[in-house]
Amino acid sequence: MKLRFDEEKCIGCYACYTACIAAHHSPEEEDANSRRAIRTVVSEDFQKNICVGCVHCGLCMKQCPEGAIYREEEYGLILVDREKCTGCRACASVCPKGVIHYDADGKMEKCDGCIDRLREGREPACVRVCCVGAVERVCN
Amino acid sequence: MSETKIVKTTCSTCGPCCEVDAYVKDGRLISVEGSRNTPMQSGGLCAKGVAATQYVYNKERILYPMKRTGRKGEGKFERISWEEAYEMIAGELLRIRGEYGARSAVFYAGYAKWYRPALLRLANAYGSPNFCTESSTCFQAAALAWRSVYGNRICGPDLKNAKTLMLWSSNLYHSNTPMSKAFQGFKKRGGKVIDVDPRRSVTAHDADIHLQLIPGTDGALALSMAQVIIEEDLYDKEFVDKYVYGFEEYREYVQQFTPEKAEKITGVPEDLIRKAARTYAGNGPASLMFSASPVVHHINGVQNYRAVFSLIALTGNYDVEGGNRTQPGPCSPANEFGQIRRYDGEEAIGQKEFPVWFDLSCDEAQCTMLADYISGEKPYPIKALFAMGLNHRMWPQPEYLKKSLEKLEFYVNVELFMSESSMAADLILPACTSYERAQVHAGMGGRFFFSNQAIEPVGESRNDIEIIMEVYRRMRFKDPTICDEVLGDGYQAYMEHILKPSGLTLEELKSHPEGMMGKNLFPLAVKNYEREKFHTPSGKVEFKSLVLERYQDSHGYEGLPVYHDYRENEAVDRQQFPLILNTGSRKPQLFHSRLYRMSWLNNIEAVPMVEIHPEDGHAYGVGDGDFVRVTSPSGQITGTAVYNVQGNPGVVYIYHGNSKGDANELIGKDYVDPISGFPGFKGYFCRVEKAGDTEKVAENDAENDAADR
Repeated sequence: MKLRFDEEKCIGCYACYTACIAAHHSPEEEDANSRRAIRTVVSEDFQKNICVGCVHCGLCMKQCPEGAIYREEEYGLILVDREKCTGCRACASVCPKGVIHYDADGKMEKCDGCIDRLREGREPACVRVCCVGAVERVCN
Repeated sequence: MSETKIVKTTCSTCGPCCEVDAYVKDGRLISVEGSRNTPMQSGGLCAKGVAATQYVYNKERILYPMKRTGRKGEGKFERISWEEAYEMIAGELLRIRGEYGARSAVFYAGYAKWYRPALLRLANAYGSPNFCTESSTCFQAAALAWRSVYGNRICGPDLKNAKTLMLWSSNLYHSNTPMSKAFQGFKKRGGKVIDVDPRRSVTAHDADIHLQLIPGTDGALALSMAQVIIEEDLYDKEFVDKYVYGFEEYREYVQQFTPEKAEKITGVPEDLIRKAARTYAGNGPASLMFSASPVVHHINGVQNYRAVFSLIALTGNYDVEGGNRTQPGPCSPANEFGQIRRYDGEEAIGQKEFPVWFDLSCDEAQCTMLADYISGEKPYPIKALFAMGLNHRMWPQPEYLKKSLEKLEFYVNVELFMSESSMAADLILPACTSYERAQVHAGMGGRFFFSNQAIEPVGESRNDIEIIMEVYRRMRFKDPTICDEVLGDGYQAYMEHILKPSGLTLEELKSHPEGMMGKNLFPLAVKNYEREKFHTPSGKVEFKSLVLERYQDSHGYEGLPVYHDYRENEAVDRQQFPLILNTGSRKPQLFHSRLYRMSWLNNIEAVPMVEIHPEDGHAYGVGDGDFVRVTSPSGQITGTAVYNVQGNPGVVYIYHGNSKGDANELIGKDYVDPISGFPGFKGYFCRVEKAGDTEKVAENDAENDAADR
């Protein structure tokens, strides 16, 4: 499974960005990060803030010297094994979307495709919340 | 491990009350998704709604009734029982009624809105004419402008049948995100969109024609479109001849607003004004989508919107398919909302200053000047305030109101959160969110929906209407002359009562989680004016308002939708304040003051954020990301400057309601539309300067002080 984000369709409402936090964190986690990233796109007389997310391309997996990043079998999502991550940040250097984050301990944190929700038969939070279909799930 | 259950309920974080599926596990709300069974929603949700868990389980939720222990405004409270709280309210309200008269108590509905009819009933039973709401600075001026022209409630757009849609200052992608799909559906069907907005918002970017006007020049733009429509003979002569009052004077007046001249006033290129006028009048049927506040948050706001609304009748788009219709879709009757008349047996607050607000009644008093009424004891002493969700940051110069609230003899605020506005209260009562109570929704299109209670109330919080009912019962017990036919029967009966005219019962609605159409539907009709006169003094559409003209001598109101430019304000030295200040335009992640306390939303952008065009930034030595000081003739705040090219140079945009720097402090309390009393939130003046490090230190100190409290 991959996730697709259509920058043109995006209306800059931050719903996917927030849904991602809500899907992975309890309300008490005040400083929780979204695994999506806000970018401002600017033209001459127009600008909007879009929220880019991981497309599960796997480039970070190829770059990781520790083998901490892997493709899980059930959905084909690119996930990280937190224990193996040494925080070298090699993954961030190749991420084409710039959506690799690091937690308070310096460990890599990325989109997990909402795998827990998928197992419950639900859609990824960002896909489910988007009102204009800018974030979509694409099956391999 | 218990199972997760899905409960059909409603989000009420902002206005539209989107239907949601709440995921509940072990009695706790864990997740929400937009419902897919409703015709008006896309199935998605907005950033505010999807963060529901941080709203419901916010650390600032009030858990128990709290009584003041320190001096007023000090913010010291202790937990008391509901019993004690109710007895105190009933006792104090009756004491004040006995000492000063019923009118000295104000009943105020802020956020949320759903309990308004019940609170109005309570005010009526008590005998006070002073039922007021947050709508003293939101929406009602738009409704007033409409009523002065057409005599009825605002007619909505018939999106399904329209060929052209004119959005007048509505960035719906951000203000009503779940409506995006319906809007995009209109575009996919080939509908043309004209968007009037000072900024190239995401919505404007998607329009066929974008009229990017200088804020507050809406009236001049609309009058200019009328000039083109009349000159090019594109207007509906038959409708105008038969149903419009004052057309000749209106026609003469609009001649002053040729597109050449209007370009100079509004900044919109004359060719684009002509093109928009021809499209709206020529590519019909055309609908106009109004918005609650942007147009009327100007000191010529009512007249500006009158000019806009007049275009509907001028082009024959009133109450026809694809136009603005008295009934754009199926409709079923329901009790309560819009049905309860305010007691008007004596003068209410705001009545002297804003008589048209009362003549074209919205069944509310006008409380923009509440602080003056409390402090000045005019028109008579105000001694008690029974408020629900009162937020002083909805007013201009909010600190002034906050101080005034401390002068009240008795002030109750029913709230979700421990808000700043509650600090002056004698009593704070915990309300619950829509997830914690059941509610009947009488929705659009004749559809009803039962919003289930998803979780137990947090702490000892209670349903607003049950609080109102208990206050009523306690007062009635002490004074049997206090009487209302509905409030005494309990909340279940109240829900039945709402539904009754629709022909549905509560039981059958509950058993249809997807919602139900009312059984009694009004037959769909167009051109109601052929059967029934307009509810205006002339019985016609009033391009020249006879209600406004009543107050020509006393208040200087004019009947025509005249345009007066706020920039011709001689009291303001434009050398000192060269930039136009526009506050409070919608942000997708915020809603007035109440969402700043949700870190997931508050952390998205810098707050308070001063959005400034890069050209202005360069001209005034302000860089992207600089800490700045914004000064208006009325106040000063600090914030973070962020470059933004959506608006034209010369205008600064700041979202309001933040305690770290509230843009509303910059708006003078007397800077209001003389007709509606609405503050000129979106058209004032300021300068922006890079602030020194000392100010940043001062701000941090202030923050630390606040944290210590």
